[in-house]
Amino acid sequence: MNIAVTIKPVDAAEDIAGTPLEKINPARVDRFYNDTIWPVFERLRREDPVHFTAESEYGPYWSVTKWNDIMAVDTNHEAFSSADGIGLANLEAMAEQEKVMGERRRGGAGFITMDEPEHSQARKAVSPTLAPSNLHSMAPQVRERAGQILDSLPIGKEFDWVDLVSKELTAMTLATLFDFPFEQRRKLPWWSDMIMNQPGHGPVESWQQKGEAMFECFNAFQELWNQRVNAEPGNDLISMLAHNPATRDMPMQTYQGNVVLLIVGGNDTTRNTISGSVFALNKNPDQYAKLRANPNLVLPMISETIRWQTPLAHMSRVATRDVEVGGKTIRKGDRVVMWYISGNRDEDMVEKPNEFIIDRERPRQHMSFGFGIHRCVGNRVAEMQLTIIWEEILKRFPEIKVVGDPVLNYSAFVHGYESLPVIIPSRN
Amino acid sequence: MPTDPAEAEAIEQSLEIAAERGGDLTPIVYGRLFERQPEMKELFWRDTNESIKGEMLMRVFEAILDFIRARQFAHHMIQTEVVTHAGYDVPPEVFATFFGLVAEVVEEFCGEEWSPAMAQAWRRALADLDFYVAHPEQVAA
Repeated sequence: MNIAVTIKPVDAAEDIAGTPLEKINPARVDRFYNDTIWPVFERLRREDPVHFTAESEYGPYWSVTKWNDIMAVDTNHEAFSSADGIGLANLEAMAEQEKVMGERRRGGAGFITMDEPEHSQARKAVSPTLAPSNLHSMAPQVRERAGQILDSLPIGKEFDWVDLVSKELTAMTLATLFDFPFEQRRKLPWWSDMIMNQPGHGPVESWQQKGEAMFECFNAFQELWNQRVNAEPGNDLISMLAHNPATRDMPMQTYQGNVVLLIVGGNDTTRNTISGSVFALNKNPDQYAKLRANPNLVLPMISETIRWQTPLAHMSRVATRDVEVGGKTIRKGDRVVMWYISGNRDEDMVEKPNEFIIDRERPRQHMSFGFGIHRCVGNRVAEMQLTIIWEEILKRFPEIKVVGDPVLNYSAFVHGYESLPVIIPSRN
Repeated sequence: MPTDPAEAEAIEQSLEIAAERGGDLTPIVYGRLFERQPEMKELFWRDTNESIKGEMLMRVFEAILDFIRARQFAHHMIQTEVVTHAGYDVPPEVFATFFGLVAEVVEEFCGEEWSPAMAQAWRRALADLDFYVAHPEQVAA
């Protein structure tokens, strides 16, 4: 069950301004859900760019909120480890999940939660599939499928853009990348939603149901592994993992972690940017008009949306030793959260950062894919899908009209949309 | 070893002159890269408006400026870019070629204002940068 609650931004700003600095907990999920998070990060960037939250539902953690400090943490994998998880985990939710799923190592989300040298060996097993040269051969198929999705949309009738377009396109592309049974493709975004949500949010009704969905997902991918490992090497992601010497003997939990990484990673960035682009263009009709007048602006519009939306709000690390960041000493063992969503609005790096401007001088200046060895391995796939879908949209529809408030994700990690009601008034 | 402040200033000055005289250096720098390493061109097939190349070059300039001054992230960033690009079959040598090309184009645009101090500062900076390209594994400070 998802309930949209409207909080007035002015009330939220006053509340945040009146909160003692040491009490600020930027990962409070309700502020992401209500879209009232922005004054928190504005204040932290201004008053306490490297901020410590001593007590929270996630335990104690540091927040790094300015561009250069985030870069310093993200590129320094020797001092900041990913092995103990790359997101903030709600401690109570983790305990509940363990009751159903059994104890799982914190982290355990594939190569993104590995340190060097294991990380690069595992990442290299999948990166050829996602490399620019391979995408060249995939592009026509993605375009054809994007066209099919758009041609099937109702005209003059309200529908949920997230469901019929954003999820469908990412499901199709992920099914292609995995060589997953195409008719079952919608299981991929559904599993992603089951993995990323807590009961009461997204499609998750109970911990039991969530556990069952995860087991179903792992079993399906175990079956795929068994098929691929006994077949000739192919160029889908599962075959590459099954045949690469660096990954073919990995423990089952590591494989499951890689599956989670690829499903969730392949799903959320693209899906929420597709939804975010429609929402942002509707909030900024002058920018939508610019895009319609000049379809060459699709590429910079996509990059601007990736910055403006920041579909993954943060990544976190654990300090491997005492290390100084932005004048503060972070102690060995401390958890550090890099808020990409804040770095992307850093006034010192991006002019008018809160505005959505599709023809910026440096449209690609954003940190939504992260930096360093864990930089999003699928960033080029995401950009390709987003570019193609918008090129095809502009060929078909003069306008996609948002006709109601979106319901946002209940998450401080995935910054996106549960639903977005739209109407397409007419075809070109 | 951090860059000597006088040398850092010489590099900054050369970059400012090149920026003023050269405008957008992207097509020149990448044009030469593709002449010397033509296999790199295929990696940019989607970059129809040069925005990917442009952003990469801007990041290189930002990294050089950070490298010669605060060194807040640039040395680590170079190491990690070498590691991630290996996944796309981009060998470390390309980074050395690229930094050298940037210096070469900056020198050309500076013309008569290119000074021996700038030449020396760039020579040393390139050698320092090469160290991180050749040693992408990070070790405790």
